[in-house]
Amino acid sequence: MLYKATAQIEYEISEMENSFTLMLFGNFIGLPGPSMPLTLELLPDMGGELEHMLLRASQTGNGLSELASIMGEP
Amino acid sequence: MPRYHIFVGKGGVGKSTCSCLEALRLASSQRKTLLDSMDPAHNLHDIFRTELGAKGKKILPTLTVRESDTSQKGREYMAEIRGELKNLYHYQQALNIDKYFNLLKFAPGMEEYAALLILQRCFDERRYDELVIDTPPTALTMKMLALPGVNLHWIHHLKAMREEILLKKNRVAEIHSESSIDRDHDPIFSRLVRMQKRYDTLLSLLCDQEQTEIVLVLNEDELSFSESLLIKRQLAGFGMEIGRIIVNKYTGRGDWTGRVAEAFPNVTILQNPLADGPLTGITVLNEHLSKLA
Repeated sequence: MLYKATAQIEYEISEMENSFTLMLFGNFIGLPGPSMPLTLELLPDMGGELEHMLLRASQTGNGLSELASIMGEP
Repeated sequence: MPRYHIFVGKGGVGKSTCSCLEALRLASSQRKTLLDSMDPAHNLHDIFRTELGAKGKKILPTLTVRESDTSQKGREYMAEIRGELKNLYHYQQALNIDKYFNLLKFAPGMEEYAALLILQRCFDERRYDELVIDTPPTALTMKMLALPGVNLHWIHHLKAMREEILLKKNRVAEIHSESSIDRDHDPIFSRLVRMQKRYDTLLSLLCDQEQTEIVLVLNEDELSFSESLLIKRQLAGFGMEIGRIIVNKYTGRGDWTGRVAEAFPNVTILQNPLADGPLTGITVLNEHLSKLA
């Protein structure tokens, strides 16, 4: 039970991290974003977040298995 | 405490001439003065009839004049970012990243940011009592002045979001008996805090009328008058106010003084009469200044 609860929070964190990166680098895919200098200034610290965003984007088409993995064992 | 005088107005109204006269007036009262032109199309060297550059030249014991280069500042900024990224992103392995950076200098927001970096350099100067800043054309100046407020808005939201992520991560770490991350040690959060401080300082300086005076220059014509109204509205949106108005090339024809006074109540309005000839060279400028006194 505890595992399932933390797994869901971890999933929420992962989604929030993805949204945070999208807020900054969304202009690459046409989303409105902050000015380029603000994004560039944060870029040196965003390596991990960018990788996470790309991974998240590549998994977008596989929503069902993702949902199943969050739900865990029955 | 240094004082800043930022000259704004429609292109061609005489911002550069008025800022030169102001710089000469301040320098003659023994105030250590820096006159900095941020306009990409510099003409201070023509007005003072001497070669100038981005490093600054002392043309009088109390007056230094500088023609800042926004393109150069933009290039320096990009080089700085590239340097930071080199160690972190396997920079050399990524194909075309140099080309990508060359294109980035044309990205929206970069030109006004380069201008803002020059303005910040003026604000960071500690060697002068008075800093007179001749700005680029209105559109770029307004975008530059909007940037601190706009970026602060984004930073505020990004900080709140990052804080929530860290809070949740720490809760999970606690459950797993792992060590938590202090938000001040989180590189992204710390960088956001540093950026917020920098933009906050810039914005407070720009809005502080005790230290910063925005001088609006206009002529007795409909176009410069309507652009001045637009400038007033936009500045008010950024929390800034016009401190003084100079009606340049003043002739007294038409009821412009009345119209300006009505549109800009509670603002000091000065007139700079139309000169008989070109206002170039220190002697001619000083002669013109003595007539104004």
